[in-house]
Amino acid sequence: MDAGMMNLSSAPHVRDKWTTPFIMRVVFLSLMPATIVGCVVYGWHAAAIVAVSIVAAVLSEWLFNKIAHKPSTIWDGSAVVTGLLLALSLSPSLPLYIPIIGSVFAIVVAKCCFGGLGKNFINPALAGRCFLLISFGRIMNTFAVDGISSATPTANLAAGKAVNLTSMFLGTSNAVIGSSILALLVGGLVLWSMDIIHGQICFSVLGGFTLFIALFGGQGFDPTYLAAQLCGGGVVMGAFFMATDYVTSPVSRLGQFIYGCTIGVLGGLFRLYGSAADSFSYSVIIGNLLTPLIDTYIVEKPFAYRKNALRGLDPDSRKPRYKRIPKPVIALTVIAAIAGVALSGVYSMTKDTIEAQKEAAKLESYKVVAARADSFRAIEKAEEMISGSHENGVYGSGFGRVKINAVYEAVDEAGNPIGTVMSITSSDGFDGDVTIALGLDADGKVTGIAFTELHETPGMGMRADEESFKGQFGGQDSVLTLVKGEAKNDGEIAAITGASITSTAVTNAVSAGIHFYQNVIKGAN
Amino acid sequence: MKNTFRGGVHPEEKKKLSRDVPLRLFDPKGEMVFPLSQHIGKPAKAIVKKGDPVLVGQLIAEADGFVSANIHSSCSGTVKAVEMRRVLTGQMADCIVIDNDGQFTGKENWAARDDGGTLSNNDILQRIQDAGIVGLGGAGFPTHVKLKPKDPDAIRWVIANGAECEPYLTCNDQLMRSKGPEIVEALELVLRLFPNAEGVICIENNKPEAIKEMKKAVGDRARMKVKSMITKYPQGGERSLIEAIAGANYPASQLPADVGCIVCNVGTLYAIQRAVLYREPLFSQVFTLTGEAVSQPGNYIVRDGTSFAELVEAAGGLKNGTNAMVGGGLKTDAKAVKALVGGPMMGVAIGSLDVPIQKQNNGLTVLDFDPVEEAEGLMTSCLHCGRCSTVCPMGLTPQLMAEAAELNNLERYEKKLYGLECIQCGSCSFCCPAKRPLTQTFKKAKGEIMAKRQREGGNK
Amino acid sequence: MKKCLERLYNGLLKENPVLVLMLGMCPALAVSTRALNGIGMGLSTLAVLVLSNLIISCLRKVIPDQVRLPAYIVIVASLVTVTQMIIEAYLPSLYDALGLYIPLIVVNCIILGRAEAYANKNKPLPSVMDGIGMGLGFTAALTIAGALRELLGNGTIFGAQVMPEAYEPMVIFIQPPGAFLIFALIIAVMNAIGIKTRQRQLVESGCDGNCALCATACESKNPEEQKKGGAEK
Repeated sequence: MDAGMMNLSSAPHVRDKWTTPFIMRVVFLSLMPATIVGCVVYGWHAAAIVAVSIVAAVLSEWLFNKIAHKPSTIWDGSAVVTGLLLALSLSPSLPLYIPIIGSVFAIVVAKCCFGGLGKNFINPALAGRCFLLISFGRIMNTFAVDGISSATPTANLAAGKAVNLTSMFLGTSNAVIGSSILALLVGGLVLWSMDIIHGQICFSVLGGFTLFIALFGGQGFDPTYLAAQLCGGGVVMGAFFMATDYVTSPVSRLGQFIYGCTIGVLGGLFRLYGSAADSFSYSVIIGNLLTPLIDTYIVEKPFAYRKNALRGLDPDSRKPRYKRIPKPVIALTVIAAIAGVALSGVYSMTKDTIEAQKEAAKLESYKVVAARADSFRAIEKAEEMISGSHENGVYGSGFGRVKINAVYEAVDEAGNPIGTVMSITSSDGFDGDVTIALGLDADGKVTGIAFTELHETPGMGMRADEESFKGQFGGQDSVLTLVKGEAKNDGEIAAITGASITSTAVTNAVSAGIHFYQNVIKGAN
Repeated sequence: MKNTFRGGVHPEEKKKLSRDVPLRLFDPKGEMVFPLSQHIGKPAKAIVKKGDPVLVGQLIAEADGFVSANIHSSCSGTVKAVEMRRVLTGQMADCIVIDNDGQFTGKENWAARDDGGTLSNNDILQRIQDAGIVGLGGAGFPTHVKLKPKDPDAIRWVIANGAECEPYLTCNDQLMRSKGPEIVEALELVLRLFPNAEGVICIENNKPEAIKEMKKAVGDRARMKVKSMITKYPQGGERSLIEAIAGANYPASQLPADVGCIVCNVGTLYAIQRAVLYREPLFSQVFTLTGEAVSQPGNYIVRDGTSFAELVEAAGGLKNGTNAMVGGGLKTDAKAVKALVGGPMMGVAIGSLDVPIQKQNNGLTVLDFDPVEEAEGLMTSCLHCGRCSTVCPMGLTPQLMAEAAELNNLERYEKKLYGLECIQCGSCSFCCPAKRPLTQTFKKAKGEIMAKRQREGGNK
Repeated sequence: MKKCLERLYNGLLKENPVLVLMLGMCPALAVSTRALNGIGMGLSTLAVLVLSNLIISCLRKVIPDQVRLPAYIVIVASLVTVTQMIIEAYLPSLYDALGLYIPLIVVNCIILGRAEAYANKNKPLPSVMDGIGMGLGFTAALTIAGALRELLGNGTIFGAQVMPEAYEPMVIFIQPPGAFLIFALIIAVMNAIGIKTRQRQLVESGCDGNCALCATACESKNPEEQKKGGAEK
């Protein structure tokens, strides 16, 4: 019987309706609420960033495929999603070349160079974002609403200021384009309910992060504080849309749980103790890097090989399901944990003693710069003067990252004020903070400086402690300038050759102290 | 005892096409071709030669060895030849070709029924063996071997497989609706062989009539019950059934008997009843002819050796656009695109209908669309989404297996990823969004590993 | 003469130590933050390389085989120390820029690598040319990478402002990640060109590229292969 030309292929012969473009479309749609809110709140420029980012991503993938003589893959929609995710994690006031560069890097380097869809080793959108963060640090951190630049809620939170939780939740605060937590949650929960993202990942990220912040954030389990931390800095976006990227997350369920917790804990760690508030991207990327390791050790066995395979025959067998983690890993973890506990224990034991010693050293140094003083007493309203004159923990402008720590009046035996001493820290040292004790006499002239903290390079920065350098400050009474070579005029300080950074830091500290004395202390009187 | 298993997918059932068409015996007119290998194990040895006359039910090939089965003629006539003929896999195989005289004269009168009570266990097993009964669920394992496990007393469940989880197929459904008491009788006979066992008749809940009939047939027998299972593919797979009923998972190197189970298809049970009580050998089975491209889908009792083409033609033929005969809500301009022996999940695509129906075949599905062709255009690289791992009824991780197999890392495939546990049910390929040919990759990998083992085994 | 030119071509392009042999990556990545550093480091290494190749080649029949590595290291370390002292005395600003990397020239794999692979098997003059070639290749690689990194990360080349004022420098290129990215790019470009050249070469010489199994005297092979192939030098 001639049935015509019939097709031959291998079983199975039916497929269900899910396709790669389908998944990408659903993810795209789930990001639409956040995108729409972001564009409405932040205006046309935000929409332009989103559009430009997506177009750049698609074009760069198309171009790469053409140049590399590979079949075109832009129809699967993954480039569109990458472009959108990247755009949503950017500030709405960035110049348009930034998302373009970010998208191109994300697609060409992080995705196509490694083999395209399914072969990237880190999340491409985050790779693009981190590339931009490192390349254009200053610009990436500008968040302007209506042309007025101000700090993001997360930065405010880190500085201890209050944040408006409602505006963060709705997406009207001063943050990245995709910052409406409500919209993100809607999208994320839709994805979870359709089983496109794994609950093990997103909820363990959020859980790990919350737990870490609760334990180490200093405010315990205060729900407002925890909510504020969760709503800022891309945690929700990261948990639902970035960490859950299929290719870079582990295959097994236990592995996914570990991966999620690691990302959450790292996110909390960087948030509380890191230098930049916007660090969640790095935690996710570190999680991505751990995925192959997790996949090697946590292997799910088929049902027949699990310990509970014969549970129906013998109801008493309920054993653990996964391949045991090898001994060396356990041993190392235990050793590291013990070491960690020991270190933190000793640290907390000695912390106060060390603090007290530092205080004593400070007092010593005060004595050095105000030799004739008998004791030091606090100046009225010193606290307010200090906190009032510091912006974001920095004093003034033009002195770099300088902070006035304390200011005292030096008094003689009779109780008459004979001068002022100040403790000033400059964070611009080559190898860390430089803290000086600055002494001023009753006329506001520098009596001398002494170092309470100086960890510079021996033979270079450390030479700041030599009389040939320190001594220059004596007698100065105005803001100083640093020169190379010889100091010819008043108010000039000769820098140490080869140690310009240290010299700058010290000079700025002294200048700041003089400036503070003249404008704040004297000004108040 | 649960009513479902872990994993599985839900393809469209499409059983409406044929589920309510009662079984009808089909008597063909053309020549009948009997391949000597219609079972797992060594092919049978022909005991007739050209020119010999044969009657229905006559032994024409003898089992060769322990794991083998007899073959009986399903028609009367003269042996035309014992030669190589093309079978449904597309290969050539040794076959006995019989010129059908159309009379279907039987060797014996099978109306006389023996009293089951007088038969010993050995009698039962011997009659099953003599009848050449093999697993009619599709695998074709010689039943008398299956019913002789090492330790009969350790068997705790005898499972009658009425799941019929493949889409389109409905012959078991109709069999249960019409021959309920016979199936129950067969189950009783089998339970005699296993004194410690309980009989469970498993039927997916998309067959409420069958469930009702079987419950009626079982009545209040103590050692038997009917269990309604959740409709999910591949519920009818041996290992999935055992996971549900016995709560045990066992590896590919073991048999159901190793976890105290015996699984028999309801069609096989019906054949057992005929063989043990009526001494009727196996020469026919229930069969579904279905698919959107078939003019008159229906359920048949089909004689082994019948050509697929003849059955299809007798049922109104295929639709080819111009020649379509329309019936009950079917597509009118359908054109046959794919013919599958079995259902769409595990069926074998055949290129020509001029091949004989074998004992293990229980359906022909002719489709008017080819999802595989559509899928090929949509293939991307693996997304690592993990859907395949979620649906695998064996608990494997197909995404990792496919990666290893594609890189030809067969060592990792077999040893670390347990690749040979795959039952090739097709659930993973079914749900893969990247439309990757997972099942095909695994079949190929298994083939290569087996071939390598044979080569190395031969060299030793 | 031809051999000497061949050594130059080899070191610059065909077996460029950084881009093809992938030796000396550590100083290459670390120092090439600007073009000037690239030249400085490259030329210092070139000087050391030439001298070390010369000395080792002259002494090749004298140094016993078992102690050749320690001997090489002593020679190279002395040469580097001498270089360091000279630079510190007469070129203090270069000294400031290169700082820690000058002593690192001792363990730069290129020096030891060329000593082992070429200088101890060949006459002084070709060894010197090999040193010059490799040194030039190193310098070229570092300078190009340094120029690109300086251009993208600072907007300047050799200190001169090239990019327009509005250009926002991409700081990542001055940092280690950028070093890797730039080198990856340069190596990719070189490979792309190299593939075409090698393909042409294979077509012309009618070989399949498998040097290890081939006994023909062939210019595309390096000296070890020639020796193994039994061809005459």
